Amino acid sequence: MVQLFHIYKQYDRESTALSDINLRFEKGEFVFVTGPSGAGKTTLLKLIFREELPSRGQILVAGRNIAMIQLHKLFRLRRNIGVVFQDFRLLKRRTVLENIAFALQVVGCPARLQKQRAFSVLKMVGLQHKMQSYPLQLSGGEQQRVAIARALVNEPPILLADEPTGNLDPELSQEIMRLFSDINAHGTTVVVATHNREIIRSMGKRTVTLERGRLVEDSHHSTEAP
Amino acid sequence: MISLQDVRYSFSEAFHSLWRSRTRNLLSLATISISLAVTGVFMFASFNARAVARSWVRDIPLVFFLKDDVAEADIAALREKLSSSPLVEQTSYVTPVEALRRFKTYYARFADLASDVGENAFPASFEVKLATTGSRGAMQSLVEDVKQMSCVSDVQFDEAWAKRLDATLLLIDLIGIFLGGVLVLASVFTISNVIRLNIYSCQEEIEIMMLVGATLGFIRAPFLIEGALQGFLGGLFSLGLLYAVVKAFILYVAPIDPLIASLVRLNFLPLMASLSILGGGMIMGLIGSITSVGKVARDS
Repeated sequence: MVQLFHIYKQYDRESTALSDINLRFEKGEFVFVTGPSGAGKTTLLKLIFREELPSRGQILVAGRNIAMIQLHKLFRLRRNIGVVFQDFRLLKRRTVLENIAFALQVVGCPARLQKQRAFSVLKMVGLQHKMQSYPLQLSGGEQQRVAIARALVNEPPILLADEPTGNLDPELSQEIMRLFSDINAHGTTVVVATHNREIIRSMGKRTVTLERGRLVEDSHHSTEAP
Repeated sequence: MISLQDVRYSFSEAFHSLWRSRTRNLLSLATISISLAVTGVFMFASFNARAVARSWVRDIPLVFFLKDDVAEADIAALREKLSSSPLVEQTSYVTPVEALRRFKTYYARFADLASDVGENAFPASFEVKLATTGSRGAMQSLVEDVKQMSCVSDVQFDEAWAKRLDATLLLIDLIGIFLGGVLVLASVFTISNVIRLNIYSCQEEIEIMMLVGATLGFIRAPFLIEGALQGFLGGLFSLGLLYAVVKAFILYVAPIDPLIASLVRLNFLPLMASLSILGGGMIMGLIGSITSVGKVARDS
C-alpha cells in the first residue's frame, strides 16, 4: 500500500530529518511509528501524504510515485488518506460539526448526507454534545477527537495519525486506539506515530522505531539501518 | 464536474469574505469605482460630444453647383444619386432664378449689382442636408464621388471646422483611453493585492482544505467570484456616481448659463456603454483575482 525507498529528508545542511528509510506498509496493516522527539516520525507521515517532498528517494502509495503527482491532481491522493494532525488543524471559523462535514463537502458528498454522517462519526468519538462548539472553545483532547473524526469520516483506505493520544487521558487514549483497531479491521491501513510505549505494548502491533532520522527497529521486519 | 452545491458554497464564501474583510475590500471597491467612473466620464463626454457634432453636421452647407446648360437627364441622375445615398437626408434643387431671388432677398443692398451684370450669373445647384448618421470619411467620399460627375462644376463643403471637431473628439477619446487604461491597470493591481491579502488571511484554512482533499478549483473559486463581485460592484457604483454627476450638471450647472443649456443636451450613457462598464468591472476583478489566486494556491 505504502512503500518508501531510500528516503532522505534534509531541511538544511546541518539537520537531517530522515536518512535512508526503506519501509513497506501493507494493505490493511496497523503500524506504530515510534521514537523520541525529533526522531522524524512527523516528517515520515508528512512525506506519505505529500505535505512535504523527500530530498531523495521515492515513495509509492498504491503503486504510484507521489512525487510525480501534479499539484492540481494532489487532491486524489489526499482523499485516500485520512490524517490526524498533531496540531489538529481545524477550521476555527467553523463549528465542530461543520469541520467534519467540510471534509465530506470537498469530496462532493450531497449536503443532506454531510451532517448526518458527520454526526455519526462525532458520536463515535464521543463529542456529539459539542457539535455546535467552535474548535477554540474545546480542550486539546476534544480538538484531537474532532481531528480524528474528520480523518475518519470519509472512510479512507489509509489513516495516518500523528500523536493522536498526545492530549488524551489513558482511558480515552485506549478508547481511540480501539476505534483505530475497528477501522483497521475493516481493511484500512493505519499508521500511528506515537511515543506512548504503553499504548504500543497494549496493542501488540508492528512497530517501527526511528532515532535521529534513522530506522533502528522494525518489530516485524529486519532492521535496515544500523 | 462542478455541482450546484459547489457553486452555492463558492458564492456564499465569496460574500462572506467580502463582508469579513470589508475595510480592505472597500479600498479596492473605491479604486475600481473611481477608475471606472473616470473612464465613464470620458465615454460620456465623447458620446455627448459626438451627438452634438452629429447634429452640427446637418448644418454644414453642402452645395453642388452645376455647369451651365446641363441636360435634364444629368440633373435627374444627380438627384437620384444624392437621394439614394444614406448619408443624405434631404436634397433641394435650386434653379438660377431661385438663386438670384435669394441673393436679392438676403443681400438687398447689393440687389442692383445682380441687375448690372444683366444675365443671371447664378448657377443652378443642389443643396444637400446631410444625415447625422454618416461618418466623416463616408461624407468625404460622397463629395468626391459627386464632384467627378460631368454636370458638377463646383462644390461648397466647409469641412475645415468639422475636421477640427473630429480631431478634438479623437483627442477626447485618446485621453479617455489612456487615462482609463492607466486607472484600469491600477484597479486590477489593487484588486489583485486585496485578493492576495484575503488569501493570506485564509492561508491556514486553504492549507487545511488542501490537506483534506479539496481541489484547487474548489479552493480558488470563491476568490475568483469575490474578485468578479468587487469589479461588478465597482462598476455599479461608478455608474451611480456618473449618473449623480450628470444629474448635478443638468440641475445646477446648465441653468447658470442658457447657452450651455441650449448647446448641450446631455444624455446618459447608452445601455451598451453602461453594460460594458459593468462587464469591464467584472473582467477587471476576475483578472485581478486570477493573478493572485494562481500564485498563492501554489504557495500553499
